[in-house]
Amino acid sequence: MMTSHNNEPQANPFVDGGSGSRSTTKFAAKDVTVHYGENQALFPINLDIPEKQVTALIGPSGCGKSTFLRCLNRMNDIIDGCVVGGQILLDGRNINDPKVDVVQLRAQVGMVFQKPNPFPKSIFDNVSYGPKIHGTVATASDLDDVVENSLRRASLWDEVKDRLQDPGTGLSGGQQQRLCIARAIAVEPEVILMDEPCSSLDPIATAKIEELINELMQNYTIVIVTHSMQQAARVSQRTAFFHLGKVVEIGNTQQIFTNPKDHRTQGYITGRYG
Amino acid sequence: MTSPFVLTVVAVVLAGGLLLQKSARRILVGWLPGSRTFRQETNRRRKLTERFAIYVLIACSSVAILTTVGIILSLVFESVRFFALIPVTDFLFGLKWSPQTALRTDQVAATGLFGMIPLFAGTLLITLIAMLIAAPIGLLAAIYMSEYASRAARDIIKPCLEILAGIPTVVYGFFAALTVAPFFRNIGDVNGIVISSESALAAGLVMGIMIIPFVSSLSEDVISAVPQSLREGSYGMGATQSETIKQVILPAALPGIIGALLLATSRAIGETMIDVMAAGLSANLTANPFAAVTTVTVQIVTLLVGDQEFDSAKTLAAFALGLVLFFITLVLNVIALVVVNKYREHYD
Amino acid sequence: MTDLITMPVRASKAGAARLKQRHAAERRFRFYGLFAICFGLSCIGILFFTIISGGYSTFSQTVVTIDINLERDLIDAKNISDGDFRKIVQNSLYGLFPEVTGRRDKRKLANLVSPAAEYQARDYAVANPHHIGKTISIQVPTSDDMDQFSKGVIRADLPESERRVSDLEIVWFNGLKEQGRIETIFNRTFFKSGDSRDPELAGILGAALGSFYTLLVTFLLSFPIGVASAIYLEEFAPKNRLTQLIEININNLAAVPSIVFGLLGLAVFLNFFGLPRSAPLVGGMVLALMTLPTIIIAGRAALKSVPPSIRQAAIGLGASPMQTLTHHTLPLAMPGMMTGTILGMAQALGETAPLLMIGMVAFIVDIPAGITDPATVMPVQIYLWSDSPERAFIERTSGAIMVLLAFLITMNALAVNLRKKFEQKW
Repeated sequence: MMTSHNNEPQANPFVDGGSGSRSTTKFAAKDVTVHYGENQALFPINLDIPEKQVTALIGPSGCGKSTFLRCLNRMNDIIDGCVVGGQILLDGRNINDPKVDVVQLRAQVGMVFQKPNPFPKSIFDNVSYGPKIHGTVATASDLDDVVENSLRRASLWDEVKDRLQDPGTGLSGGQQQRLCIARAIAVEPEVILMDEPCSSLDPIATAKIEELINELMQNYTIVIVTHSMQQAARVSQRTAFFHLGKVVEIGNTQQIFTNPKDHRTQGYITGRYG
Repeated sequence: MTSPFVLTVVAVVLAGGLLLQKSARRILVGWLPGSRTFRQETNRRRKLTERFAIYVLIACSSVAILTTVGIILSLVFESVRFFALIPVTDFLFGLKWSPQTALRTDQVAATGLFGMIPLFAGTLLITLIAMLIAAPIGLLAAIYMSEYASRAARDIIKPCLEILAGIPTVVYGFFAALTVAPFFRNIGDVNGIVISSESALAAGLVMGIMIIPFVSSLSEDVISAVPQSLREGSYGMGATQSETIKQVILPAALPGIIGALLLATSRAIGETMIDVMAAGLSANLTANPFAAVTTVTVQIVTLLVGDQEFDSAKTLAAFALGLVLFFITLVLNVIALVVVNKYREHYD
Repeated sequence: MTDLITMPVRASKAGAARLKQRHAAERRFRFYGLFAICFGLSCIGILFFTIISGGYSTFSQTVVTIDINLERDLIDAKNISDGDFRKIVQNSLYGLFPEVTGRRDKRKLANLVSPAAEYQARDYAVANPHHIGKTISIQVPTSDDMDQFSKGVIRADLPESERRVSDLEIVWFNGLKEQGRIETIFNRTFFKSGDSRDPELAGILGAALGSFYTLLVTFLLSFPIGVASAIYLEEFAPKNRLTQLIEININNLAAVPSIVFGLLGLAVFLNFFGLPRSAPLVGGMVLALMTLPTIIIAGRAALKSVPPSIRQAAIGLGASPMQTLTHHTLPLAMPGMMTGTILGMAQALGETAPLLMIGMVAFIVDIPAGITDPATVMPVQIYLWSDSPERAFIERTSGAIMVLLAFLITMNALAVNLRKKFEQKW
């Protein structure tokens, strides 16, 4: 079924730092709503996410940006009483369709969380976990290769290559977060969702992750939720501004930050509230 | 607000009844000279009372310690007297248990045989059967309740399973002896297997049922202490729920689960009534679950119930068995408590 | 990082097969969990069904109405209670079945009714001396075997050699039934008498009162001591090695086999202090030591759940630590402590093994009147009855279990309600 989408990307991989208009749409959200029991967390959201670009979701706390992010790989399914409405098209297919296999969807759309959450296992086992459960590797040496490649892509290899059997929880915060990125990459997703990946990291570790995001963009579609407007400005090509469960404005990052159309966006980026 | 207040009054009256009586005299004596101001006097009185109250609290706390000391002293003291009659090695390594002392002193084996190995083996056999039932069932039930069941379902299932934990052991013993044991014996008759009417299997099975809620509630606590972020991390990579449970949650919760199982084992070893009512009295050294075996606890009860003079080897043997029982369960409990505490700290 | 390394690509066909496998594994695992829950629940179901189906008939009793002639020859009017009431009852039965002549048959016939019949006749005569010489009719319990036969526990379709009731007795019983003399009434005896060798006369009142006195002692000792210990350990004790040791000690005590507490009671309370055997006083003391850890642990948890801000507020107003405790912390923690105490009491109510050690296992007919009278408790009574050979005692055992479970369920429900009522989220 969905494996057809795992092949080579259909559109050109050319990345345009400015407009993004030439890029294919990876995700298209159509009237997405989220209710937690009685409370409506998201009001009909319409949003396109272009392929192989970084899209930043910004907005004040509780504005629904993380909730929206979690819709993209149906992580909200595991929350009791959470109901998602509307359509989210991934490569033209609605992922909210009950027939869609979330397991496969999440393999295609990986996620990195706010707090680094390495499994209480060795570094190697953390990275090999995904390939093992999905059965994407046949032999032990293939697995070694996958682990090495993933760690390299997450620019962690040089720091941990001599202690792959040490527990992942023993790494520093920044290293743990890169381990989580490596773990996500090892599954070969097409999209990586990042939920405030740097909020618990120091500035140096943050810089490393941002650098990494810039590199990953060449191969992956990245959606990042961030509190830091500077970060959004540094890493993303497109930015969506969320406010009170609605998308107020979406556009090229440069335009959003220099010439916002909506007064609320302007208020937020100039620090009048947040 | 009145109810808690009434309850408190009851508590204070009970906990501090003694204290008030005694301190009242001191307060009165201190009050009489009456040269200082009322405020100073109240403060002084208050301080006196409070210091005294603290001593009462300390005294109460020491009851728990005194209990342990009392247990150890009484067991050790009586055991030492027992070992003066029967050599320690005979007791610990002897393969024969027949404490029936002869009526006349000139009879053979006048002192009886006190080898505890068969009792110990019987205890282990029943415990093993119980844990073979309780460990998988309890653990799977805990997993289902914490990971799969909806909130509403959990709110119904959990109290139901807790009913099992609240049923007195004597009821389980009755159930084992009058329902389960005859049931197994009939099955054995039909299939041509000799199953004793006091089989280890019946006692072990019923004890296993008794321990299920114990394992499940302890493991559920442990499993729900595994941080949600680990679950999300695993689901976020496309793992199914069972893969997440088996490969992330259970390994993370392992120390706590081991602690829970150790506590359950300790409980099975120390369980008395099910064994007394459903296991036998004959000290067979066997690993056959269909045979009758006896346990340490059964023998303690048998030796001490009924009329007997208190200084015979027979009655003292019960204390030696009690000492062994206490020691084994103590080791299991302490290991389990330390493991579980470490685990809790890890995720707190 | 710039050189891209190709990774193995998921082959779609193999991938689909694997996915199917994984989902199958998921469903299997989920089923195991569901199976475990169902196993546990069905165990409860079977247990309760067995007990209730075997025990509900305890609450009814088969009685027979007989006409007894209080013959003047057999009763001395000056000393009525010494009259030969056994003879009177026997004569009444012989009168009903004049065709019975053999000595053995006659004895069997006399045994159709419970030995209680003659006491009932005696009590009647003592109360109504002017009726002496007249024929009166009284309702007396049948023997336990006839009772069991009447309830269908002893089945008539079995061959005579395999049942405890002979064909002849069945004929008599049916004869009495046809005369409308047999009735089934509520078994009051079960709730208002003590133990007896005769099942139809045995009741649980003695054991229930024994349990009550024992629990009273347990409560009076363990509640104040437990609450005080919890307060000291949670609010005042310095956090050091010693208190850590006390904590491990208390947790361990909670897991020490109950029979060990019985050994402690035997060695210390009975042999060292010389307290009376079989007394609720000693039983209560042993159970108090046993439930103490439960109460302390629950009490500490309750105190811990009171937010520090409340203590700080009180101390900030100049309250002493003890005032803070008695005015603020303790009232807020009390529902939690009561819940723990009720659960501890429920545990003590169901406990058997330690009480066997201190002699509360004796056969006691008299109903205890205080905490030093010899007594037994309900679980021990259940144990004793379950060991008796008479078929009717199995029924009594189940009945007693039902009463005990009713008490326990009430206590637990009370604890749950208390917790729900006062549950606060800070």
